[in-house]
Amino acid sequence: MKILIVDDDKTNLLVLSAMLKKEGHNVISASNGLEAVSLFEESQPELILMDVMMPEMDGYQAARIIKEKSQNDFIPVIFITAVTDENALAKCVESGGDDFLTKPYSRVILNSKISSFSRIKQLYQTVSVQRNELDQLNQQIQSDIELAKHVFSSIVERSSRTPEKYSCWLKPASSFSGDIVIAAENSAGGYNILVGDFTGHGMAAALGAIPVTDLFYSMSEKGYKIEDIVTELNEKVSDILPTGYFCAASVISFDKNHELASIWNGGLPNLYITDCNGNLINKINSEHTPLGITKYSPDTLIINQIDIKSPINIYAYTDGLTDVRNKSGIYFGAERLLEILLENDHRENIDFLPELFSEFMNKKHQDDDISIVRLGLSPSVSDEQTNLLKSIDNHPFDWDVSITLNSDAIKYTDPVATLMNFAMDLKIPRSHRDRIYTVIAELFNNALEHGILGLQSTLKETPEGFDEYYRLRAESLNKLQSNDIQIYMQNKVISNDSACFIFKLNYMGEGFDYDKYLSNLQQSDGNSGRGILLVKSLCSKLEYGNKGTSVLAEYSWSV
Amino acid sequence: MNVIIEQEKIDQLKEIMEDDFPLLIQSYIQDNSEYLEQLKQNVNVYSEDDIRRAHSIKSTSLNIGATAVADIARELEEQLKGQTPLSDSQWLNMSQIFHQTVETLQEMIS
Repeated sequence: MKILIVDDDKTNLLVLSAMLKKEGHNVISASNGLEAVSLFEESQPELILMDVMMPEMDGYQAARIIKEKSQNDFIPVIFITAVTDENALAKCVESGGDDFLTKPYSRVILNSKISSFSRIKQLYQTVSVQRNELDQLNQQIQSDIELAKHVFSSIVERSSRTPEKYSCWLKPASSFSGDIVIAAENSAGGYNILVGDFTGHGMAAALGAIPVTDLFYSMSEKGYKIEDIVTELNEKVSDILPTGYFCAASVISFDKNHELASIWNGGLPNLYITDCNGNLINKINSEHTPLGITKYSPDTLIINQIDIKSPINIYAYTDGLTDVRNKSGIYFGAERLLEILLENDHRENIDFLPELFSEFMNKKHQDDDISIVRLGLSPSVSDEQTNLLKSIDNHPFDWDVSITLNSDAIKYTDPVATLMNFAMDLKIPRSHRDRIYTVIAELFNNALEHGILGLQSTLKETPEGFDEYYRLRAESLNKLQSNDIQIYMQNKVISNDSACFIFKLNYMGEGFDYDKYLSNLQQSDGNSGRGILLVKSLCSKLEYGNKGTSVLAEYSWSV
Repeated sequence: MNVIIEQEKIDQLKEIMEDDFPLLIQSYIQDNSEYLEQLKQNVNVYSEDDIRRAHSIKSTSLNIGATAVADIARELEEQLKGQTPLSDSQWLNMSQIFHQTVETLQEMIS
């Protein structure tokens, strides 16, 4: 070990130096404090033996300076002193000394002190190496978290418009939320809203939120139906999350005119629907397992359709809100929540909730992420809004597109969504999208199901028949071979702010007797075939030809 | 009265210092003779430096086993700290003991 010895007496230095050299140490000597400080900087000794009383600078001061300069390293300073006064010895330690030896000392004691400090020094080095490693690791983790937060927020909190009477409260239990609440605009001019609660909370739970959110946005935008979106989300969650991890969720979808809301609930607590005046109209309970547990099929999913005749509020929340207990161990509970919600149902938003909640919790920390959404829907659009929408949209322009779908394309893709994509990209105003969607969807499905697959729509009149209908549909679709459907879509400008959307479809196949079909429909009052009547009422022209294997629809629209 | 030189200590030092032993003894004699001379000259006005000189005589004497000199140097240091001048008999005693010590040490290295 390299040892610096400091004493103003040559005799003492000689003896000490000889002793240490005999033990194999490398010795450098200084004859006062000042010299010691400069030698310390020059030679970087590993241990210092220091006399107290010296000219120029005494040992106390030298020790203080050396300790000050060696804060990142452990350089033991042992005072060697003839003083036995307790106060003087205490001063050795106060000035930064690590130990003291009183003269006369024996070689045995000197050597054992040195070797004991050598061990402490090694320990210190090990600890400081580990500390540096931990520091680095910690920094790495911190910057990873920052990056993850950035990615997470840019995906989940993407700046998007929210519905008009929409209010939500999110309170994550840690820096990442395992709850997601997303409002995505859909192609019908309304919104699809997803409230999801991933297993657990924190970063692990939040990871699943990223792909789910992304998928939800893109499918909503493309005009997929709620059952298709839910089915895909389910598949996604089950693909990416390990066994035992899932996502309880609910999806609410509504159109631009707020005439119809579709609600699906898989594993979330009951959704509440109220009349905006504190009266509960409906509860939507979960009839499905959460996303990521079992397979869903779009045909068997239970979607609650709510016809909106007068204004309603829809409330959806995750169980983090009701399953918390306060300091006294009392659950917040669904009953308390419902009572509070009904009491404040008439209010503008749910901003009253955080305060009531923290009052209840009485400073206790929540264990899980909390989210609640309130959505107000009223079935009319004011003139002001219509004008606003008009001003956003562009003037119509001419375009046309033709597509041939072969049997594989019919089997494995969702042609209606694809066709709708074209219409969206080609700037059909929002206010007409849901109607054009209806035209495309009904005419296509009619052609496929009745004209090509030969299914009888009367089957759909009973619930059992409904299931049978979709079973047969899937079965015959699977057997489909070499049947093409040709589709032609055109937008013809009529004036500066009006145009005609033309949809033509034809195929090789049996076809069906359109006139008979229509007159039958008008006589029956069942659920089947209503779509075609709706299309007829929307369009300025609807013509079937070629034994029903070709159809032409014209839909006039203006900005 | 303590022994002039502790033989045991000297033996240890010889073992430690090996060939440097005479050097050690010479430096002891030389340094401490100077310190004593300076102390005598400053007989009426003592400074911090003088206290340190007395301290050095004590500490180096302990180191080489010159117990008798160390004892007197200790008294000397205490008195100087208390600003009490040394009496003539104390000086005489110190001079005699230091002289005897030096003689004994010189015999050892001759």
